[in-house]
Amino acid sequence: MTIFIFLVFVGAVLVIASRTSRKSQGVGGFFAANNSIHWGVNGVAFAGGYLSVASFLGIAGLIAFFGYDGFLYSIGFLAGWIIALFVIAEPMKRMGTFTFSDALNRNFNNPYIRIAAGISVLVVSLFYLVPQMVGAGVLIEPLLGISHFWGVLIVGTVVILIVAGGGMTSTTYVQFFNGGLLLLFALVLTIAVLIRGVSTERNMHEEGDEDLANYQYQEIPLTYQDGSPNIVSAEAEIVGRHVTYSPYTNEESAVFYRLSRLVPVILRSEFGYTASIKGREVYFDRSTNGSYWSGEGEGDDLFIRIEDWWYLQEKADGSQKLVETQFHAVLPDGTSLVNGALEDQQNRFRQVGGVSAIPAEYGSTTGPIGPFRLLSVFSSEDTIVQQPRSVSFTSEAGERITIYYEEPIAGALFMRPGLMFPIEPEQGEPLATTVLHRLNFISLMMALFLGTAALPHILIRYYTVPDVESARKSTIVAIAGIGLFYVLTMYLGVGAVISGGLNPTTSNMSAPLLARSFGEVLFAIISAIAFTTVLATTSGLIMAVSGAVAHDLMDNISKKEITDKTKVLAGRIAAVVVGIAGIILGISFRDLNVSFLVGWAFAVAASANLPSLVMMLFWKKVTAKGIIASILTGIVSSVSLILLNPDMWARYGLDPATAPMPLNQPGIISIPLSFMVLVAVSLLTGKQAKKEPVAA
Amino acid sequence: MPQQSLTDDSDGEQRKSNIGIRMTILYSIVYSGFVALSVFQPEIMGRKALFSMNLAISYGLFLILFAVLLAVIYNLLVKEPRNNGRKPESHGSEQEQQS
Repeated sequence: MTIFIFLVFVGAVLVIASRTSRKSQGVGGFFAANNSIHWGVNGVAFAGGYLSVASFLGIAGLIAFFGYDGFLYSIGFLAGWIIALFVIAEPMKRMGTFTFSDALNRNFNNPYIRIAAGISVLVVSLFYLVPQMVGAGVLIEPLLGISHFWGVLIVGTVVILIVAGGGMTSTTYVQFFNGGLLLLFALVLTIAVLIRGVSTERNMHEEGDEDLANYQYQEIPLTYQDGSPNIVSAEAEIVGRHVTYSPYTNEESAVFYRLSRLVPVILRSEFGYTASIKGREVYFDRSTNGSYWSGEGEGDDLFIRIEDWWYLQEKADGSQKLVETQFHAVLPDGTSLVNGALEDQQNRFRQVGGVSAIPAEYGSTTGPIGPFRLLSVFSSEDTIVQQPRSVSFTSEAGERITIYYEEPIAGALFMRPGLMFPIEPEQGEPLATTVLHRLNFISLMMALFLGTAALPHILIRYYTVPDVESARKSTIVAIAGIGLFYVLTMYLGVGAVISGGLNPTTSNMSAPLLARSFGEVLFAIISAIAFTTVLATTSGLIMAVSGAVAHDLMDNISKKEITDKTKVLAGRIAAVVVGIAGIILGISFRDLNVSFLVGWAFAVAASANLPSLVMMLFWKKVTAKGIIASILTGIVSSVSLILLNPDMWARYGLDPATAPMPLNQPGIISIPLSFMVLVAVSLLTGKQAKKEPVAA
Repeated sequence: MPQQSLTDDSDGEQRKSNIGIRMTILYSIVYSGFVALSVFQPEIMGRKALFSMNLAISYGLFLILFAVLLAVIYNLLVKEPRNNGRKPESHGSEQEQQS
């Protein structure tokens, strides 16, 4: 079923691409769709190209896991379009033909401006391309059962076909198709979520037995005897403990106990048992795993001994209890255990999340509910959300353990800023840390706001429409469509929480799993759309690079006049080369977090492109050298600040605290720096300032 | 396409650009207010606001709606540039599109 719908969607994309590719003959056709795209189509194509998997799956997942903080991305991603509309759209169209360097270079005719702008397109696009490719591979694995390698390869091949074959026209219609699908099915899912309402029952859909969904995690009361913890259970005993501490006060922030316990089993054969572990029937094979398991007991009362981790919670009356968690362990010999047994088809992680309490007047479910009421119920003091969390550590025995648990948290807290971005100081936190956290947050919001209008694959869309008016109108359509979509992301995220169907190991799967809670068909459709989303965004990026290489870099570096025909050929070749580079990068960076790089791509775009675009429009003293200096400063400063920041330091395997750059988000430094360099260099080189335009 | 310079010489363009800059500044202020509240007064963001949703959600939804609203208003304002007899540039498709 999933495969079938997937093939239909990808087939549709290819048909659209091939039917429209005929119109991309000639240099104007290949790079700018002959300026023939209707503003309405262009507006939806903006949405289809701009809304990447980071917007679709990433944000829904972040909202499902971190509540309101995920929605901050929605707000920032949309706000950037204000600059695109009011500042960039019309001048871009008026002054350019194929790439934004046309506009930058209009009054200077300086080849180095083109080269600098071309390099900036390359850098920003690659930053943006890698997470899209990785995202495609990560998605396709659980959705279609194809490996990461093949996922990236398929995406790369299809995109190369679209761009190299059909140029801007095909790219536009593929993005239009995807934009329409995204909006339509986000709306369908949202309506389904509203009809379901907020309920304390889990509506998840897990593969396996029908009653899997109703499984209740076990709880055991914990008491203290002579100061040492004691559990009231005949079958279990405490064999280990792990504590996480607040980094500032050294107080215990979360406590986990490792229990060794007996689970009733049924003898299946001479060597095998099955036991129910966290609701799943798990098969234990004594002949192959004899070193781990053997049955205990006699006659019909057979047990098997497993060890698992429990989370310490305080009850309302002050007494303590242990709550069952799920965990993953990698033993020193490489064996991978899920919930204490060998990882296999039957023994997988259960879905998590959910709402455990709603305001009393609703009982256990609100039933169908309006869009505002849903959010008000969700953000109520009386609503309790089960927030998925995890903690990783290495035990004394050398096992690498990750515990997945749920933290009950009031809806009022879940639905306001602070869960992902630690902007509120923790107890005992030094002032410097608070300031850093806040600067990071401001820096990110600034990069999102200023980055959108400087993204190369957005800027090239302005050249596909016939005139300035269409450029403006299509931007307005884009704002309306994208704005609607980002409002809907809130319902996708919240709906995923309500369904209780979150995958504890990855937030990216939240939207598809929400769809699955409504049935396999919707799941298949949403998964296929996730895939066309990657295609649409990636083809826009590759198109941007192709234009930059053929139009900005090639003839300015070779300094020879290049015929239009050669230019188109160069564009096609560039698309193939960049596509292959994307495939290789996508395969080699498979473990990279998707949303991570996208935020940085915005920062690089905002630093490299926006200062020169804005200043060129509104400041008469800008010089060519000023523009070149600003672009290069923007690229170098933002990229090097990223390479030196604590997140990257952790990736290199170094201590993040020793990173030379304390901020994770470079925007707040590199954007103003790029502006200042532009002004300074322009003033220094401004003697031969360009002619004042004569106001008639 | 007529040759025009960056800072455009047509009154229509100048006027458009002025409206655009003002709206950008207006939006930037509202957006900065949102960021500032989130960073410095997160507990205020938790208070009840519109439709008994908290302020964080209300403000966030408003920012999205406000962007769409400004975009539509901008389109209405710049539709008929008062340009003192100067011809606006060739808007071939101006009439057919009633949004």
